[in-house]
Amino acid sequence: MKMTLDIDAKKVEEAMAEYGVETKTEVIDLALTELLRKKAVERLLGSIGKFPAMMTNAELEAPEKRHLTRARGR
Amino acid sequence: MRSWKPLKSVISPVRAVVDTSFWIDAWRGDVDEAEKHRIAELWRHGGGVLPQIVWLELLVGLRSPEERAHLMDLKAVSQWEPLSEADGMAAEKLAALLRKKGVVLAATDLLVLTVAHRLGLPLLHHDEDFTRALKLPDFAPQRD
Repeated sequence: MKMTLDIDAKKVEEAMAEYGVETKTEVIDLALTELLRKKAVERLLGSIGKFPAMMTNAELEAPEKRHLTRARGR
Repeated sequence: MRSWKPLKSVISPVRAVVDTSFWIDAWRGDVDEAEKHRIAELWRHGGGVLPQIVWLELLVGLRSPEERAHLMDLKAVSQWEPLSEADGMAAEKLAALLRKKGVVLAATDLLVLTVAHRLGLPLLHHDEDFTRALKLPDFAPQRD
C-alpha cells in the first residue's frame, strides 16, 4: 500500500542506522512488526494457565501411541 | 554422519526448541515458576523455536477460537523452523538408533528431536518419551 506520512525524519534515520536497514519502507515495516510482536507477547503472557480444558499431550498422542503399542507387540 | 548427542531437557540458553507437550502444559497451567519465567523469556526475546511439526500438532488439538488466537500469537513471536527432506531422513536414522536401544518414539517426536539436534539447541518438553530417550547413556556417536 502506498501512503504519504508526516513523521520525524531524524527518528527514521536513527532507526535505519540502528537496525542496519537501508530503506524507509523497511524500517517502518520493521517497526510495525515489532509493535505487533510486542502486543502478541503481552497477550501470550496472560495466557499461561488460562486453558485448563485444552487437549492434553497424552490425548493428542493417543492414536499414534495405540499404533506404536501394536507395532511393539509384533 | 552427524552424531546424536544427548540434549539437556530444560533451561539454559536464550534459544530453545519447544515441544508441543510443553506449550500445552503451559496453557493448561501445568508449569512451575521457573518454567513460567523461561517461557516469558523465550516470548520476549523471540528465542523459542517452533518446528513445523509442533505447529501442526497444536493445530490438530485446537478446541476453541480463543486457543487458535493464542496459537497465532505463538507463531508470531517464535522462530519458525520448517521441516526438510533431510530432517525426514535423519529422523528415520534416529528411529532405528533408538529402537536398537529399546526406545520407540512417535513419528512426530522423532521429528521434533531431529530439529533440536540439527539446530544444536536444548529441547523443552513435558513428555516422558523424550525423557527416556534423552536419558540413554549411550545416546550418541554412531556411525554409518
